[in-house]
Amino acid sequence: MKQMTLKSFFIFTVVIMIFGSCQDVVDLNLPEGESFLVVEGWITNEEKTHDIILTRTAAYFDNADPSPETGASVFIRDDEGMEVLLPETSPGVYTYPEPGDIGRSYQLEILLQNESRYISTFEVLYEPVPIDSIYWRLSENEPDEEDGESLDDIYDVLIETNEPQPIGDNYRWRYFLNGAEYREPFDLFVANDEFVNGNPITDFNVPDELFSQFDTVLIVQERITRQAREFLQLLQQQTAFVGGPFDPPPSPIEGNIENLTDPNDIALGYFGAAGTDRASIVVGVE
Amino acid sequence: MRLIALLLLLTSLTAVSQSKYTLSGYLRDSDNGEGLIGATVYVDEIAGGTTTNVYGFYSISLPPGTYNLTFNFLGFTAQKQTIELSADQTLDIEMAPDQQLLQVVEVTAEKANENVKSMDIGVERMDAKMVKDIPQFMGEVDIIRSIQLLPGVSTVGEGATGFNVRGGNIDQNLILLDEATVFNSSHLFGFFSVFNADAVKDLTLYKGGVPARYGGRLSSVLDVRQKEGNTKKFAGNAGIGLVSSRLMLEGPIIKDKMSFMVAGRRSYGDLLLPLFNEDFRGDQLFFYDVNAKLNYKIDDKNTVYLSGYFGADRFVFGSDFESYWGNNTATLRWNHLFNPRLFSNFTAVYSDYEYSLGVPEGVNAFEWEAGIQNTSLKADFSFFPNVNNTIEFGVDGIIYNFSPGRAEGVGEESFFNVLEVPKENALELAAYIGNEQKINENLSVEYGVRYSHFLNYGERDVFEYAQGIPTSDLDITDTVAYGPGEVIADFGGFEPRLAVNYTFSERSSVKAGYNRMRQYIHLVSNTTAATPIDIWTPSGRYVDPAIADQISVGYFRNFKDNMYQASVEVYYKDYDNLLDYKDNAELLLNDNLETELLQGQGRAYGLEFQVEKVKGRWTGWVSYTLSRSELQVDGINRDEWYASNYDKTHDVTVVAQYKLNDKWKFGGNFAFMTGRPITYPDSRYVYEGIVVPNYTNRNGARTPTYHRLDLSATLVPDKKDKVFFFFNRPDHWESSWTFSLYNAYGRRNPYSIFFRQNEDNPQVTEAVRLSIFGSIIPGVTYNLKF
Repeated sequence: MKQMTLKSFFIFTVVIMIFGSCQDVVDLNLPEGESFLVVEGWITNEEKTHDIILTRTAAYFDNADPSPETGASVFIRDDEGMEVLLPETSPGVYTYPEPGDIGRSYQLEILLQNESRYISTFEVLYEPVPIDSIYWRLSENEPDEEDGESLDDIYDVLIETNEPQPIGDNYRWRYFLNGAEYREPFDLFVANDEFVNGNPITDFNVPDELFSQFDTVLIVQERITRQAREFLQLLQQQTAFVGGPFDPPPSPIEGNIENLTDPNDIALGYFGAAGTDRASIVVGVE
Repeated sequence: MRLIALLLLLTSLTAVSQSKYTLSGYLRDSDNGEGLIGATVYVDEIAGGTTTNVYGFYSISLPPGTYNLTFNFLGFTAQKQTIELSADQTLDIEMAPDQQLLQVVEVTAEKANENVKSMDIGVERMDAKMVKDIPQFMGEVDIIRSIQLLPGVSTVGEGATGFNVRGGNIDQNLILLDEATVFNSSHLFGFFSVFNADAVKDLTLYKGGVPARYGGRLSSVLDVRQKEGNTKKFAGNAGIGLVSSRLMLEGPIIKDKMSFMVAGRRSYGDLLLPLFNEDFRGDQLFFYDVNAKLNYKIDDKNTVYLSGYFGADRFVFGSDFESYWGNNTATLRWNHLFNPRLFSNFTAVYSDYEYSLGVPEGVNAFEWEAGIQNTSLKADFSFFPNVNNTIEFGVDGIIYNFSPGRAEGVGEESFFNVLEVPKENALELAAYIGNEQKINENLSVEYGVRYSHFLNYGERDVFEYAQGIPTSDLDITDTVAYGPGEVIADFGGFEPRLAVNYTFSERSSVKAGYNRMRQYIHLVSNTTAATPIDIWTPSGRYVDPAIADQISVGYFRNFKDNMYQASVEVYYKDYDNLLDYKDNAELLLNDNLETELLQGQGRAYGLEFQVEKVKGRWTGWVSYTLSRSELQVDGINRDEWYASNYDKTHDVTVVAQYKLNDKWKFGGNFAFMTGRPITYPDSRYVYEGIVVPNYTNRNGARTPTYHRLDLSATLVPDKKDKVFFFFNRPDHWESSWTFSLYNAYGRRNPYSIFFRQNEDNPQVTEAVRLSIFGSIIPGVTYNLKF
């Protein structure tokens, strides 16, 4: 049910294939717009350091790594008055050294060298919802070689979890194969509990990918805020589900960061908090 | 009660005005008994006359005397009659189709300047024959695609549902099939339309100058009339094409009294596709429709018509996906002649549009369904007091039931809950009166007013929001329960209509029109092309009705004995309370949909130029439209005006047919237009490894120019040729082959340009052109008429 858009996209694709539709790359001249600050960073309850990455937008056909925003003063504070200045550990990367506390809210503040001051909304770090079990089994689906799957890819990796009451929870799942995260637009996976509130969820195929024996698969289940879920959903919509007749008009993706000095300026990206649980398994090994 | 009093008054009026007598009757096609719509009755002695209504009825009141009458209808041999009028008289005329159009028969030309003389401004008429001569996509005769060739009518792209009229959205068109509202005019998204051309007799598109009898939509009325069914003899049509096969049968049940028509069509994509690709085996992919009509002429004063349309699209792709959408409508009409000057029609319509989609099997199995039902009752009266006035008045009422969506998991494995958006009910009432008045030899005026009223009523719970503004479901402060029938919100207002015709001569006229339209129900869709599963929502507590005012002025001029008909029209439209959507709006299964909606203003203006050649070996038209359509909605595009998705600056269309001889006919269309507005990114950034385009200027760019040529050739084999080359056919059977090339020079017209990361090197971003038709699309159809 989560992917109704995906489905209508799919069916349209089938239909237009019949009529010999085609896609080709074209050259375009795009005017270069203003440059904006881009913020990426999450704070979780996990025992690790948490990076806040500041970059800038570039011309659309720039095709290079984004340039880092260096020399900024970056603070994280919580709703109980704690405030920490984050050291810049590499260009544009500012590191919060410890885990966040469940139940607290976190805010990011950024002061650029040009005196522009940005501030995020307070993000709640919710109690994580645990993954009760993770298991593999032989898939009913055949590997699709055209889609880059090998003939050894025959296993599904599934999880069990319990969606808690009351309604209003939002989730994001990340998944990793042998330590590498799936990070393409189609891989983004967020949902709310509208359709499943309070239910036990079994045989939940988070990655929706096929795996082969000895693959190590890690699944991370994050409970996030509604605003964060909506941000990621829009991000996916404008990067993965594009080009069809059933796309909503694209628009700037508003995150949760505003410029206090110049309200007309926007900062892109999102600073979020996630109550996180993770589980991993080696596929095909009893 | 007042209505009855008015009727009595009109009846008595007729009784006292004995200084005049009324000549009335029906004009019909002598071949099949079909009523002729818009045929003219010209009286030499008064240098004027009247036209038949949609049932083929005319009425004209004259002082006693001898009159020379000419009955005219394009494509039919004109008839002259002399009558001695000394009492009310009924005169039914049967006219024969003109078999010798090629010889430019002068008698038909005599009164063929209806376009100049009539009140119609912004009105386009087509009969089914005309549509069939236009080259068609995959040979499938399609009414909606054909009207998109008219000036002022466009679409956002190939395969898009519906059509846009003079800068209006697709939900602003009132589409009527035998008086029943059609909510989705498309099959297979928008590649084909729901109208089976074999079942259609006539269609009229009002782009402006909308008469008072129509209401409920802002931009246009498409009034499609189905065939009544041959009252003379049993006949039929059959066709086999690449997309679908059709069969239409019609005939008398009681000769000249009772007849039927039934037409069916089914596409067979699911039968053909597995031949090309094994993956489609076992899938369903088809649409079908059935049109049916039964008429009974009880006596000279009473005729009843029962008609229905049942059509649907169904797709099933294995256990992954299934969807269904379909229209069902039923119409019962009763034509009653109170007296020769007072014609009436009573209509009862039931219409149901339902749609669903889901995943049929597995843990993700679910089904989502939604719909809109309406029941309407109408009474329409035409009163013909004298030659110079035709008064129309009537009332109608529509009850709507909206089911905005219900989803539930399917099967025991499912872990989905049931989710249902509460149903909404509404009642739309209207009354109208209008008069078409001939003031003098040169000046005619049609003026009228419609009053409409809309009630959104319970039983339903309505949310209250902080500050009364539905900003977010987090701001809900209270829930108010409304009981069954309790009014939640109501709206109403007058809709004045005016059309003026000043005729300089038999060959030229200037016309002007003004109309105000109110629209109470809205299609909720924030995608470029509407999807078949978009829901309709009524005006209510938080959604105001939309209003449009349009003024238009046109100059009409005919040349060479009406062989060429030229017109120039300019229009300006002003919209209020148009719906638009917040960014990232959740429109499906949202029980506080109002929090996602925005309302704003719009404006559209343009110039339409057309020259049509109506007779001779060559027929067709050239049209050019210059237009603009813009919106301004607070909360979108930094509150600035932006182009609507269907704004097209230039639009040139050439439609031509050439009849070489009785055996071969050729057709061609050429369309050339500005690309549609689209939003391009002006920068990019990276978030968690994903390269994201950053869009700031809504609809600030355009897709490249669109142009396309379609060609067709129709072969009517000699009588001695065999059907399918197999068996001898009876002499009166007619067969034909139509060959077509859509997109004849294979241009890759972009439907959209979108932006993505390169698959091999995600660092590189690229612009990709999506063309729905990447090549020439051939088509062939075999038609048999018997």
